[in-house]
Amino acid sequence: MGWKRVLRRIGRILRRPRLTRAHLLAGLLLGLLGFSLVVQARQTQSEGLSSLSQSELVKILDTVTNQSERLDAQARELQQTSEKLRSGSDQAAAAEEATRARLEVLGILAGTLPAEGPGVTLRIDDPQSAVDAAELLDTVQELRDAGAEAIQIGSVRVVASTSFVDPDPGTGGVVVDGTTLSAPFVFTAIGDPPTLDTALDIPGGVLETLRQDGARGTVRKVDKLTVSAIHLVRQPEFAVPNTDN
Amino acid sequence: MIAAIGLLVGVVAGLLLQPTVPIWLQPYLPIAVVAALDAVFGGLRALLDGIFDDRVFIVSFLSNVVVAALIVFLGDHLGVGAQLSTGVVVVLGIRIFSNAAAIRRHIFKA
Repeated sequence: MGWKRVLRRIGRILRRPRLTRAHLLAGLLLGLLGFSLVVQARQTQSEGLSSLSQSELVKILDTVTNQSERLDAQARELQQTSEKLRSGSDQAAAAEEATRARLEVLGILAGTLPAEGPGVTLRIDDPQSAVDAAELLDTVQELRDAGAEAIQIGSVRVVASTSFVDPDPGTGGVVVDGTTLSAPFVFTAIGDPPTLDTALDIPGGVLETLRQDGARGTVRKVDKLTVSAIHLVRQPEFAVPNTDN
Repeated sequence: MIAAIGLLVGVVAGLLLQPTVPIWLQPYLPIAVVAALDAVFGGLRALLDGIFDDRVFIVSFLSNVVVAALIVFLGDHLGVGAQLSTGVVVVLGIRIFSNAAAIRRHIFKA
């Protein structure tokens, strides 16, 4: 029939609206159709679950239950992961804190960090150049025995490996860790001041020995002094930590 | 012409009034609408075939709606409402498709 004939036929119908009762009825019915179509479409959009049958509702309920269980499991899993991560980071922070504290303690012991605190200063005046390396070492030992935690002689930090050497005859002073120190020797020791003071002043102790040799030691208790010299640690070349045990 | 105007008026009224479907009508209205659509497509096809008849259209429209609603009603009471509704929709869908195919052949000759 084709386009044109269809259009012609429709046009003819449109041009001649026959107002019969049947026509009006058809119009009414179509109006009803359009009305209910729109209403039903709206209803379906808005109402959702209430128009579904029992089996469909059961199916939806099952689906929702399954989904909620799955999500619950997922939430639990994520919570566990979160707790694990949180406790892990806590542990890491605690370990870091402990490591830092340990580093400071070891730094003071090894002489790689400056230290401050109460202690004593010992000044040894030696007008006759009578003080030798052995006497300085004795003094250091005495201070250590009395609980000195950080010791400095002149500008040299005293650590475990510090050496005391008498220089060539004729030149004065004492070579401490490669640095030649000469009188007056000034010790700075951090520890309990009365204990250090007593330790130096015992009969037959450091001060008395010095006096006998013609030198003069002066002890001064200080509430807060600073051991600022730093011992540079050489990286061990041969020794590595033994991690077997 | 009047039919087209009626359809338009119905759609506009539905959009403007926004009524809610009463509960007792809810199971039947969707099927009735599909059945009426079937009748409309049949009428359109008859129009293009040149054998359209007002009386036939009205009777087929009303009988379609009533029979469709009746089937759903029966199905609901027999406990197979959902299945019968599906069956009715499938059958009407097939009819709508065949009528649409006939209309298409008229218009596109294909």
